[in-house]
Parts: sequence; C-alpha cells; structure tokens
Amino acid sequence: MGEWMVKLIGALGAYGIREILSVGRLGIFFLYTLRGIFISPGKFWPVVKHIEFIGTKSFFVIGFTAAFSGMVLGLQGYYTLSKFASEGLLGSAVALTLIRELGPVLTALMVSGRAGSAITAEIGIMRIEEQIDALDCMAIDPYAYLITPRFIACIIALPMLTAFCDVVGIFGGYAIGVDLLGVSAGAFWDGVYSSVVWKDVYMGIIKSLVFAVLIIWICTYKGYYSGVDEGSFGPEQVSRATTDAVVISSISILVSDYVITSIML
Amino acid sequence: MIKAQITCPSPEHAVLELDGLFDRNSAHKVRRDSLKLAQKQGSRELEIDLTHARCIDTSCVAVLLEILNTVRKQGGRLKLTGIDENTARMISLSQLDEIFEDVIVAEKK
Amino acid sequence: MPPDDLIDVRGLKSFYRGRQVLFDVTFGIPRHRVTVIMGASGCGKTTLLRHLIGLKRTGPGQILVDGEDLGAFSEGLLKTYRRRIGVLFQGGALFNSMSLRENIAVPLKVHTKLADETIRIMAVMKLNMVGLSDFSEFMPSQLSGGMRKRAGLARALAMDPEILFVDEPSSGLDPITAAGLDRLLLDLRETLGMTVVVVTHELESAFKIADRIVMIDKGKVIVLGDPDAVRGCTDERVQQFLNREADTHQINIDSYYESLLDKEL
Ligand SMILES: Nc1ncnc2c1ncn2[C@@H]1O[C@H](COP(=O)(O)OP(=O)(O)OP(=O)(O)O)[C@@H](O)[C@H]1O
Ligand SMILES: [Mg+2]
Repeated sequence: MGEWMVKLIGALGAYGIREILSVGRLGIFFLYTLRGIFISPGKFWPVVKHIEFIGTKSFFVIGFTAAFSGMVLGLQGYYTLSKFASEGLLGSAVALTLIRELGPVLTALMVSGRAGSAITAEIGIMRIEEQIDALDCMAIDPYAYLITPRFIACIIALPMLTAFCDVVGIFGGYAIGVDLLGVSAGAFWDGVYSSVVWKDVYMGIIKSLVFAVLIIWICTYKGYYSGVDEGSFGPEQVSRATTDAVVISSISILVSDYVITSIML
Repeated sequence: MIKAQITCPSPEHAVLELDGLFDRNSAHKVRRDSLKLAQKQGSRELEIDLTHARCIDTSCVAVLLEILNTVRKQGGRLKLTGIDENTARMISLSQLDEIFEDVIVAEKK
Repeated sequence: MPPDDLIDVRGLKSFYRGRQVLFDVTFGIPRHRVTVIMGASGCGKTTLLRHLIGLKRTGPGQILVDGEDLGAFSEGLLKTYRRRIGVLFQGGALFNSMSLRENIAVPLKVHTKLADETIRIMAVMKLNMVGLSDFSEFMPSQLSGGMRKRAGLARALAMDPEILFVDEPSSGLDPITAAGLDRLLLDLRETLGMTVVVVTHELESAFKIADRIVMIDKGKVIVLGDPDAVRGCTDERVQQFLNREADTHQINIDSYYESLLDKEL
C-alpha cells in the first residue's frame, strides 16, 4: 500500500515538473520567435509565401463552412424570431452572431485543422530529419528562419480569412432568409447596418488576432519539439505532435473565446 | 576590404586593378564595379589585374565567371592578369580551366 | 614539425538518458589535414561528431577549439564557430521543400550579400564538385540516397568552410563515385586548406585520404595515429577491423541468453 502511494506521488511529481518545464519552454519559444523578427534573413518574401500557404490551404473549407453556417443561422434565426413576429431582425441576428462569435471561431478552427496541422507536420519532419540541426550548424537561427515568418503570416492571414468568413456567412443567411423564406431584402440589410457597431467588429478582430497567435504558437512549438522529450526522432513522434497540436489549439481557441467574450462584453 | 582602381591605358583597353581581400564579403563590390565597367567597355577589351588581390574562397571564381559571361555577351574580350596559383587551383577544382584558358594571360609567380 | 591541433578532444564522455556511449575519448584534429574516424556501426561516431559541431552539449570532458572550450561557448561564440564549419549529416538533412540549388543557396543568401546570379553560379559549381550539376533543379525527393548524400556534401561546402565534418560520405556509393569524393576531399584540403573530419567504414578510402586515423570501439578510442601506425597496431580489435573478420563469438552472449530464457529457470 505504502509503496503504491509513494509511486503515485513520485509519478505525479515527475508529471508536474515536466509540465512546468514545458510551460517554461513554451514561453522561451515565444521570446525567441519575437527575437527572430530582428535577426536575418529578411522576412518579407517568406511571410508572403506563408500567407499564401495558409490562405490557399484554408480558403475553400472556410468558404464552405461559412456558407452553411450562415444558412443554418438564417433558418434557425427565422423560426425563432418568427415566434415573436420579428423576422425583420434576422439580418442583425445573423450578422452579429457571425462577426462576434462564429466567424472568428470557425475560421480559427478550420485554419488550425488545415494549415496548422500541416505546419506542425512540416516542422516536425524537419526536426526528425535533422534539418533543424543543419540550420543550426549553418549558423542560421531556426526561429528567425522557420518560426517567425509563419507567426507573422498567420497573424496577418487569420483576420483576413475571418473577414471573408463573415461576409460569406452573411450572404448565406441572406440566401435562406430573403430568397427562401421571404424576409424583405431591405429589412435584412437594414438590420445588418443598424445593429453592427464598431465595437462588434473590433471584438471580432481582437479574437482572430488572439486565435492566430494561439494556433501558430502551439502548432510551431509542437512541431519544433517533436520527439525531443522522448529523445527519439521518428514518424510516430511527428504524427503525435500533429494530433496534439490540433487538439490543443482547438481547445485553446474555445476557452480563450469564452474568456475574451466575458472580458469584452 | 578591397579597393578597385580603374585605368585606361588606351581607348580600346580598360584595366580594373584589384587590391585587397577578394572573398565572399567583398565579392559583391567587385562584381558591381566590374560589371559596370564591362557594360561601358562594350565590345572592347577589359583587363582585370589580380596581382594585389588575394582570392580565398570560391565566390571569386563565381564572380569572375559572371564577368566573363557579360563581356562575352557583348562581344568584348576579358583578360585576367596576376592570378595566383591558389586561384588557378580553385578554378580547376571547379573544372573551369577550359573556360578560363584563353582568359588568363599572366600568372603570378 | 608535427601539425598543430585545431580541435582537441579531452576525456569526452557522452550519455543518452543515462546510458554511456562514449568513454573518455581523447584525440586531436590537426589543422589543414584529413582526420578519419572509424569504427563499427553503433560505436558512437555520429555521437562524437554531434559533440564536435556543438549540437550535443559536452558533459564530462572538454572539446577545445583553438584552445577555447566549446562547451562554455556563449550563443554568439557558437554562431561564430558554426560559420567556420560545414557539416554533412548521416541522413543528408536536405531541406525537402527546395531544389538542390536552393538548398545550397540557403547559407549564402543568409550570410552574404552576394547577388542572386553569383549565388546561382556558386551553387552549380558546388554541385558539379560532387558530380550533380545536371540535377540542380531536382527536388531531394527525386534523388537516390547516394545522390542526396552528395548534395548534402555540396551544401556543406557552400560557404567554403574552414572545417568540414562529413558523416559517411560514401555510404551507398559505387567505387567510382566514392573515389571521386575521396579525390574531392583531398583537393579541398590542398586548395582551400580545409581541415576535414570524415566518418567512414570504408577501409580503403580511409587509408587513402587520412592524415590521422581515430579508431573507436564501443565508445573508446582503440588506436590513434597516421595510417601506417594504425596498420602496424597489434591490438586484436584493430586487426580484426582491418582484416574484415567477423566476430567469432557473441560478445554479449550472456545478455542474449538472458533475454531469451526465463530468469526463474
Ligand atoms: N537519439 C538517441 N537516443 C538514444 N540513444 C542513441 C541515440 N542516438 C544514438 N544512440 C545510441 O548511441 C550509440 C552510438 O550511436 P551513433 O549513432 O553515434 O553510432 P555510429 O557509430 O554513428 O553508428 P553508424 O556507423 O551505424 O552510423 C548507439 O548505441 C545508439 O544506440
Ligand atoms: Mg553514424
């Protein structure tokens, strides 16, 4: 019995230390990435390349998701609002839901699932094939070369994709509400214009920026440290890192969404 | 660092005299100066005097090759003088002796 | 006059998670000479190389570069040291999202102000040295293993390093190509005065190119000296290696039996 307890406490202690160490490492990783902004090579073209990568990877999924979410919002919104005979508010309901909540969250989830996982896998493979060591040996800062451009690109790309998602979603709601269910087009757009204020847009942008940092931070970190803790560098470590990255970044998106909303409302 | 000095002994003939360390840190400067001069010389003769230059890495071979390309394209003639043994060896290490064969006129002893 | 040593390894011990793989390794790497590290598979050659290039921090023991302790280098000093070295990894470690030419251009782009055209010419020149000038636009995935290895060597040469570390350059190569690489390493020593450190199993090539041979067995240096001294060494293990004799008896027969037989019996 006693032995069992000691083992348990020992295991918990080891787990705790490991987690604390990895939190510390996560922080240092972020600082090195920030420092990478000021270290050669130049960032402009790599950033453009990565924006293109993140954009093309996620563009269609986001368009699809946004269109159908907007449509479903149109449907649900219509039936709820019609109970109170206020179908005219459909425009504001759809637009506010999308801009404040669904747009940023859906976009972030899609980007972490598509581009984020690809980034983790790419960097993880560079780790297990000693390509990161090779960069080190060429006196090239791997953070400045690999991580920083992806950070900047994601922070630029995510708000743009979010805006795209919002617009597509609103048109989806419009298609259902106006074309199918017969809400008047004037009332729909009037609702959108009159209810959406600067603060809502602002909130959406803040959210997407925070999500961008979370996604890219977690995904690059997981890739960069694939197999480092185990001390063995194989494909299995990369696949684990990729799954972890997507799961952890999705959870952090949803949690931080709640936190930001509760602070900003 | 490296110093480049241009002289024109005759209207048909320009000489670029290099003085200093010709390595990957100074190669871009040599390249800029000599390509400019090559452009100006057109189909006339360009001589690069390496007597006082020290080539220590293969970037100098690459730059010399680039100059040779430019000069040939304009129908001009390139002459390399004062090449030291080490540079010649780097040229043959890069298997470019044939290309530089009639360009190198005088080797440094 | 004996050649002075550029790198001095003193009493180096190395561990992977508590398991010791190098035991008090002591030897010197002479300046402007070719040093060959030989030994059976798994004896710790790659590990030793990783210490020499500063990827694995030295625990007990020292590596002195020009008399300075590599283990105590600050980040800045380590970068300066790494600008002087070129490394061919055992797996090649090419960046697989780039063509061969772009791979070789990476260090040149980051560390020099050379024009793009100059860099292109240099990359093709280096590829030509390893016999791959026809493949400059190929991606690493389109090459055979031996070709990837040679391309890795070309990239290690990109900056005309003062010290070149190569891990089994000729594994998987035919005798003709392998002889070409031996020739190249000697030419580099002659022309650019490179200090070359080669890890190899190929006896013939080792004796052809080496100025100094370090033979390692199970993590210990068993012979050190110029090729003649090694040939004349009477140590049983050395002779066995030189004469390509297989182990007559299983050295770890006890642990082999132990893992097969139930210990209770
Ligand atoms: N990442 C690692 N984690 C744990 N042990 C390792 C690791 N890398 C190597 N080892 C161990 O260290 C020892 C030496 O390995 P090393 O790679 O240095 O051998 P080597 O001499 O290069 O062999 P080869 O000629 O086959 O490449 C081996 O016993 C190996 O099991
Ligand atoms: Mg090895």
